[in-house]
Amino acid sequence: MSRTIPLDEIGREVRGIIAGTLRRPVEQVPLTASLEGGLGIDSMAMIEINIGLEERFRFAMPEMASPAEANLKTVEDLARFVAAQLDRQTGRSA
Amino acid sequence: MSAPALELRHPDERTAAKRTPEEQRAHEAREVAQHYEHHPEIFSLVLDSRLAYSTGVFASPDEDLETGQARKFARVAAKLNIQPGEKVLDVGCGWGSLLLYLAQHTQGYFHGITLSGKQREVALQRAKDWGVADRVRVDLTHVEELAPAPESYDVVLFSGSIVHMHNREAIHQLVARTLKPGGRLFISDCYFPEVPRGDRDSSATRYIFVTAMGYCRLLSLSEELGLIGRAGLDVLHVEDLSSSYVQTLGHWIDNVRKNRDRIEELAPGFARVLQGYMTVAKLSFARRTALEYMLLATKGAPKVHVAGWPIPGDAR
Repeated sequence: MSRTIPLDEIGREVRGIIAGTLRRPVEQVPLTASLEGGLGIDSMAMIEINIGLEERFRFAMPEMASPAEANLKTVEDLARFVAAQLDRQTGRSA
Repeated sequence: MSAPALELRHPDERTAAKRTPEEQRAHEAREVAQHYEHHPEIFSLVLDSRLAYSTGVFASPDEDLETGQARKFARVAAKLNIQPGEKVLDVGCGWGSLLLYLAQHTQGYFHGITLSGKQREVALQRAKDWGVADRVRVDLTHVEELAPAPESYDVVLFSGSIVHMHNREAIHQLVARTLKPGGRLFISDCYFPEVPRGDRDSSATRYIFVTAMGYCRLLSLSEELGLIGRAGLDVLHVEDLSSSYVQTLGHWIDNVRKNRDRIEELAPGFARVLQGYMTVAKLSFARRTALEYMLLATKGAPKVHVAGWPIPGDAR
């Protein structure tokens, strides 16, 4: 089975989930925003965002207490990371 | 000389310290019970078949949850060595996992107390189903309200429950009074390292202590051992189970993932709370910013002999 969700849709969903977790309008969460420095995502927010992503995409995110642990700097990095995880877990070679 | 006061590590502990013991008891009864009052089916989807809500004991990384919890029950039973007719008080008995295991494997008399009416119902029903109801009683009360008579129990258990109790000094004094000579105190719970490691006042800590669990007070191991000793009991054995808890939590989290839809049907939003607090806990035990210990103490001359416990090693 291959991932059928295009990257731009994953990006929109990631922005929505981050905005929901941080209780901010989605316009304040552009793909270019820095997760830690810009949006101030702490360990609990990271865990809640990851659970939100798991609920939405039905896969398992690795456990991490900060974006830096997975070398993620921006919202777009997180969207690409989700896409890669989905590819891996749904069996499509990257 | 008076004992050193326990450190107040969180805003919620400082608030608790301002309450009277009665007010704090009511707070714990109300806030802590909420978590455990969720539908028992939810916990049956996440935990092992006996519904143990504390760490198992894992000997290798590929063991399943059932194996880890079975080893824990057997190990605790061996540590306590309950004799026919002995009386056991299980404080925070949950759905009766350890209490009923011990009832099935010994000829003791068992008294569980819990703050959750749903847990009491499940424990009593299982006692009936498993043929031990004549030796098992379960009451809905806080241990400080129970006020058991002096020297009335041979064993007092706290498995994943003492962390919910703020007034620990009073609890240990009560336990020491209520144990008979040769009586045993058993605790399985989590502690902070002696030296602060990680952020103890983070949003993640507050999420687990308050949002998910209602009220938690983590001491350091030396604080708890000090309270046990000052109450007149002697510590016999301490065992670190932090890495086993990482494994236990991994199994629980996987079970939440597998059963997310059903949990959501039964309690909207609760799967998220469970996975959130379990992930924080798993990361904390893995990084050893929180530590899990099993403690055994005795009142007077011990009835169990820890020197004979089988830990590999030669005396050559």
